Amino acid sequence: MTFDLVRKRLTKELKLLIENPTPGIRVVDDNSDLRKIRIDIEGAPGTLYDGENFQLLFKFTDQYPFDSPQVTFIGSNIPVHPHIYSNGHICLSILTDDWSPALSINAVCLSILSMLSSCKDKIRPPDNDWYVRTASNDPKKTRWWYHDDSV
Amino acid sequence: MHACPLHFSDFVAHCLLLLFVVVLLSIVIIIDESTLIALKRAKQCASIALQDENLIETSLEFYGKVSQLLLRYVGIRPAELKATFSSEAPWIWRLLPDYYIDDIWDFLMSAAMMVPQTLSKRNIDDILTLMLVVICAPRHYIQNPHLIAKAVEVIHWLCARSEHTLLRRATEYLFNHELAQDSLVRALTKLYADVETTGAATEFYDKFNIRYHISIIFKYAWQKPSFRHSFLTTARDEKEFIRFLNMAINDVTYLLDESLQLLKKIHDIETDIDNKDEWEATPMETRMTKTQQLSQYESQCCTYLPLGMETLNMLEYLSANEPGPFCSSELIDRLAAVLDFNLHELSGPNSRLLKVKEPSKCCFDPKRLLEKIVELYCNLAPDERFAEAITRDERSYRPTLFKSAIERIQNRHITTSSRLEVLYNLSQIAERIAEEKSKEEMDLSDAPDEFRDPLMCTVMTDPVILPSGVIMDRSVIIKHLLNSSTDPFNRLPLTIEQLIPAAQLKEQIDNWIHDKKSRTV
Repeated sequence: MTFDLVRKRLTKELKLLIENPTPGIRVVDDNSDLRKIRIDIEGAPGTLYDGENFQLLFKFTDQYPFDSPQVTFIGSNIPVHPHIYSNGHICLSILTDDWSPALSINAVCLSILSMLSSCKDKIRPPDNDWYVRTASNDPKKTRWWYHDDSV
Repeated sequence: MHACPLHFSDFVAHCLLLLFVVVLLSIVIIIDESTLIALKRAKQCASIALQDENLIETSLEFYGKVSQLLLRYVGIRPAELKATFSSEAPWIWRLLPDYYIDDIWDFLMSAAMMVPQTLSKRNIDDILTLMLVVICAPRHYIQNPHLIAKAVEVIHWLCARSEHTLLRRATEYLFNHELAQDSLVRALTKLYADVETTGAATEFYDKFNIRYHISIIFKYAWQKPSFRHSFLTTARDEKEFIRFLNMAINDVTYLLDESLQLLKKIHDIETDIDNKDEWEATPMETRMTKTQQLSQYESQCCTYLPLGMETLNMLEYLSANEPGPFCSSELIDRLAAVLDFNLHELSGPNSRLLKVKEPSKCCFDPKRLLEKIVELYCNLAPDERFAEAITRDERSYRPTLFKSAIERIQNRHITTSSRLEVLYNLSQIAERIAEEKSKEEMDLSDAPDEFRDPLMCTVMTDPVILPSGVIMDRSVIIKHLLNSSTDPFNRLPLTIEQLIPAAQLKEQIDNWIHDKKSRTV
């Protein structure tokens, strides 16, 4: 499958995102490459992240949407959350094992926002230091162990 | 599983382990010399007693009898060579604990390693037959994939040492067995694809081991003329074979990609070290981590590359024989993409980034790798679909790709001139197709949404209805089903058979395209 086809699908996703924006999810303008897409998200009102802005980086391979995108937080503000490591990696099952090609950028952003919204304690994962020191750049190479569905 | 009684093979292993630990400890603690000597002596005595040929032989005979009994439970008499499996496994077989079989594999493996001469006797024939039954039996006979994987490992071990005269008899027996000729290849291609998900936490790495074992067995079987037929019939059963090829192509893509990236990193660090002045100026700590990384990358490369090569090699000889399944629409684009990409990396301008000081340390043999890739191109070249697939590969395909590759291959005498000619012709055909396509491209961008595939947004050519009611293009949903047998929209189990052609919609789309064409002409 070539990236040509992937581009078609991503163009459509971006078009939908820009035409019917979901509150708290904003496409950052320059996405000409499409292999990498930057999305700004905003912590939902009334939650611990109210008013905070975060940046997500989506990376797509030629296998998208059969293969999940690589999604990480980037920039200076990485949310402090029990499932988000300080290097921006996110422990979220739909990004690896539970990915389905019917999901989209929008669906991933919504999942991440809801993960942030249900957080009760702003803390880093217990193994943060060890993980950040040893992890590969690509979070998809990590064998995640999804333990907790509550947040 | 129940708590296990004492197993003989475990007992042997434990004894040896215990002694080993004791000897090690004694060295660490530096107990006085006489104790050390005594311990060493005890270890030697134990090894001699445990590796005693008679003991092993009688034990093998015992396990042979156990195998005979187990075979009788499955319904196979020792004299019979043909196995028939029913839709339900015999109840007594189902009641047996896994370790009955597990134990035999363990013992056979250690006997083969420690006292190979015991395997040249006839008394292990029943064990070997049982091994084939476990591998070839339908899944409801053996539910624990671990037992199958272990049997595969034992056979792989035998195949890898087939030149060993003491082991030859066992290997010959296995591969002349009617059951093996009948269904070993088919069972192993299925297992190859099935291990993608084993449920274990380590499945991502387990599958590479099991697949490596299978590829070694295939390599051995391939040399036997009597097996060619079995490969042929397996390849003709396209559905299973395509699933198998899909996994093999996935692995080659992943393994070669990883290896080449590692080689680039090694190259970078070596360049840093060569740059004497700067290297001396960098802090001690950075230098240390970099040299550590260097050896780490080298050893990683040495696990990925041989695996990738073995898989590539398997694809090469299988495609030489039966290129048809390789050119099916689900696979051909990805196969072309992985070949183009690696050809580009190995022979394009970037290939200098792969230069490392000691390629053998990284198990890197660029000539052989390139040779295999060229062979695959040549095997698939006769099929028209292949040249077309090459042109669809946007990532690496350029007309210049083949030009520079051919030059390089010629300069280094990597393959024969007739092979080069095939490659050259292929590149010409691809170039011509690419030109025609760019002229012909029709603008379908105003197609209504209901004509488009919901996942890829392309205009559908063969719409099918999923049980959930969603309509998708057949090629897209099949591509997804190769990765996971689920409906992407609700994750319910889904198979190809459940797809219903959306004939009416297909007609509408065809008419729409037809109208559009006649208007533009």
